[in-house]
Amino acid sequence: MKLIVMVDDNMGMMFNRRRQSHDLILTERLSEMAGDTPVWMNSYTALYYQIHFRNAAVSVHFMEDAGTDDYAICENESVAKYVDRVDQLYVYKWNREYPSTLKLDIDLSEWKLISSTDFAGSSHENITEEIYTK
Amino acid sequence: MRTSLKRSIQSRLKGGLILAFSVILALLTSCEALLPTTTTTVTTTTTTTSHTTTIKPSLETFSYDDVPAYSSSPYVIINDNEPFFTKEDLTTEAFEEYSDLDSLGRCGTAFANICIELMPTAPREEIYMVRPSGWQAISYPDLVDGGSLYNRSHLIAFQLAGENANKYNLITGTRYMNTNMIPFENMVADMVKDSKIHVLYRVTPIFVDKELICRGVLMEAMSVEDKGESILYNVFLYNVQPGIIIDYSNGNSRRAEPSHTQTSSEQRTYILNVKSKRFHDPSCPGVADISEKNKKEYVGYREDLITMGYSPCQTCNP
Repeated sequence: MKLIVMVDDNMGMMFNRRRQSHDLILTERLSEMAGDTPVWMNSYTALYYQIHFRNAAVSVHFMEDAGTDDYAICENESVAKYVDRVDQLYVYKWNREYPSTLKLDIDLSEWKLISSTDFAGSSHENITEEIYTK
Repeated sequence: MRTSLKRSIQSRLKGGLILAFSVILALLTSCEALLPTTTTTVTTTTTTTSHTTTIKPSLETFSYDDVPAYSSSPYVIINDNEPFFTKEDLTTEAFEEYSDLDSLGRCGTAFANICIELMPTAPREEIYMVRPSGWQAISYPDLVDGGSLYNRSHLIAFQLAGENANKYNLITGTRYMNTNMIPFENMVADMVKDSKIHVLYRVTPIFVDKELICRGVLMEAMSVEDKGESILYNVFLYNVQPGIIIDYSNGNSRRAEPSHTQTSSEQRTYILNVKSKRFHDPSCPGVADISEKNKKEYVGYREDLITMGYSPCQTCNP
């Protein structure tokens, strides 16, 4: 699967069971990127993101259910235990510091960075998109 | 100042009887989302330490005694991250409220409903002309990022409400506390910008007795339209600076010398605060602040106190 995560400067993802941030332009970018490809997510993520994708798929076991070419968005779970199922990793960096109680639990230095792109968000001056493969 | 939006916090507090009655009524009717139960968990952000204490769930009764001693985390979560807002506070009206300075010149609670209309539209201006209570210009270049121990710390951040040299909104905060407030401010600012929502946001400096420097700030935030689904927190940030000992009564400071007692195996006398779980040197000025029921003399080893869950006072560093 192609896994999408969003992190702050400390690789944080969540604080107090809530996403650290979101950004409308990033959401539009993800929606255009996914097109008709299934985008898997859990019920927490679905509350905010489901309506933005043409082919959103909601499942408790979304990281197990996502097919090889499918996308998945993980916001509030450990990624490490599904790392073997991840073919491409899309990391979106807010380039901001937020408090965090859940962090991305994989070591990016073990992945190969194939692309890095900066773009302005709607509420973030500069978001960095990094795409990794194994 | 935004006088058109500003209301007097005093007037809100003077409506206290009605408010208090409402709070009690709400508590009795278990309005759990906004008025949590009387058992409050104060949990440190590290995974290894947690403290549980019982406090009344309101800003008015919150005190420094309810906070565990600073260890290494810049903040602790208060009341399981549930702010002390009441149902009456939830509004989509834009406002900013700043407390009058007290007789010692100290700031009180600053309260705002953060929204796009309040956010700054002009560059930040100078604020050096404001001298918050306890202010001292002192530098420790080798210990503090940027050198200066103290910053003029906004209660309501400039990025949230555009307040510049507002003496009711600036306190003497350590560089450490000031920079650690920013992530919480960022989260509110970016969520408001992206969702165009309102976030109730309240920052209260917590002073002990007549001290001029606050021991920390209580930061509360809750997104209004979605009743906290986007933003919800209640945290206490410590007004400390690692490596420096602060006299909170006047702002004086000194370097924390490596304490010979920290590795000593000698027995000595300590004064314990059995409620906050801090231990003090008997000569520490903080001892006078401990109520008799919470004060206990202890003769023994420092290491044993730490094993028992006590932490050294940051002022006397016993």
